[in-house]
Amino acid sequence: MGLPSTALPGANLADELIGRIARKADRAAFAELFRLFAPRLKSYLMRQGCDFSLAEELMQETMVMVWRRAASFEPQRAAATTWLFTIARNKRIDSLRRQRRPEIDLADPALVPDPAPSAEEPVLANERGRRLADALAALPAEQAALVRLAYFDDRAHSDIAAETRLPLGTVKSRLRLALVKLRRALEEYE
Amino acid sequence: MTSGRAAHRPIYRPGHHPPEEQLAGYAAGETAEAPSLVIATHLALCPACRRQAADYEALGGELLSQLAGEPLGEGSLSQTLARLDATDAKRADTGRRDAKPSRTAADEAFLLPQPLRDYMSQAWADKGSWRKAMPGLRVLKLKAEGAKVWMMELQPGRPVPHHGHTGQEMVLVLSGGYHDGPTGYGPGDLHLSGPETIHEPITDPDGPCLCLVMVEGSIRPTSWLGRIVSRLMGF
Repeated sequence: MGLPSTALPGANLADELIGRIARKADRAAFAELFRLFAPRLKSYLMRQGCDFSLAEELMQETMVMVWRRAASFEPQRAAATTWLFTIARNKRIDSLRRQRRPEIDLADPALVPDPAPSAEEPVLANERGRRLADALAALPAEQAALVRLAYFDDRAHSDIAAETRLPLGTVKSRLRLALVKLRRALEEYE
Repeated sequence: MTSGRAAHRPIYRPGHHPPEEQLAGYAAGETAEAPSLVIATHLALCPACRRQAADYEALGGELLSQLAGEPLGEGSLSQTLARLDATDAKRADTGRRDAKPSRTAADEAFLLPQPLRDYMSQAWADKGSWRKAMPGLRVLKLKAEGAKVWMMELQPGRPVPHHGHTGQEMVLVLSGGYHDGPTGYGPGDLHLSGPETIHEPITDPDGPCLCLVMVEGSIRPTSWLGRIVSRLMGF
């Protein structure tokens, strides 16, 4: 299924393309970003239960949103792939569930602020992304598969249990174990 | 009423958090609106969980970049470019969309975090109101898909009637605090209890306690008082 995966070039390219869209409404940059991400976004949406034409529609809406919101992208806060993922995720929730997604507002005066940053250089979002990729690759295959299933298939853990023929409790505990491993891998550097 | 400004208030660091997989589920967008409202409000009050949720969003981005692509529809890029023209024509808002909301003294004295504030506004817009469920306990229903959600205010020293539930219960403390047995819960703390739990939390004596409560399934009052209260509250 799907096209063979074309390796994504360095994360910095995506940052740069979004920056060009934000600064200059650069359509060539948009077309390049589209070429890199549109097939993947569509793949994500189809795994979430959209059929081919709905996935195409939501992917296009996602890319239009990328165009409109490019100025709000902050590369030090999130990697470009993460930002794109969150936009597609929210489109999918709006469309499939017809629900709102409650989200925090980072400019909210009632938000309890982060503790004062340490003197050390913050780890850049792209660097964290790379470490996460390494940690994901280091997971045992079955745990990595479980993380993908839990993330990308719009199914309850009980359905995953039925498919993998594991008891529900085992699915939940293995998933939790995998998630903890991934986050430890990030924290070890801090 | 406290006098000082929000910045001078000691900040309570929550000690009770959502479990890993619930934060991951929220980041993945697999969580229904009602539990998402509780988790997101906790995130506004808990920088540590906010960071974890950001890590799980980054995991989503990483998994996205590892996906094999699907073939696009005929003329996909040109259609999307055409849609940009339509959006450009409309676009008058550049730069940051959300200006910081202006604050009043009243807001500072007691300010609910987003996204909860929006849901409260919606409740007022829908002509909702606080209802007295029993002496010392009042509730305001909120509207979110997937479970029952309401705000609950308890006067000091009051117990919530002894009850169980058929699904998960989430209680997020917004101000004040309560004890459930030996365990204390304060602002930002998220208290989860499963279907098997039967409990009777008691508000701390030093002030009223305001909570955001979500219950999946239904509440099973285990006392005559609880049965009356749940009827009054419309469950």
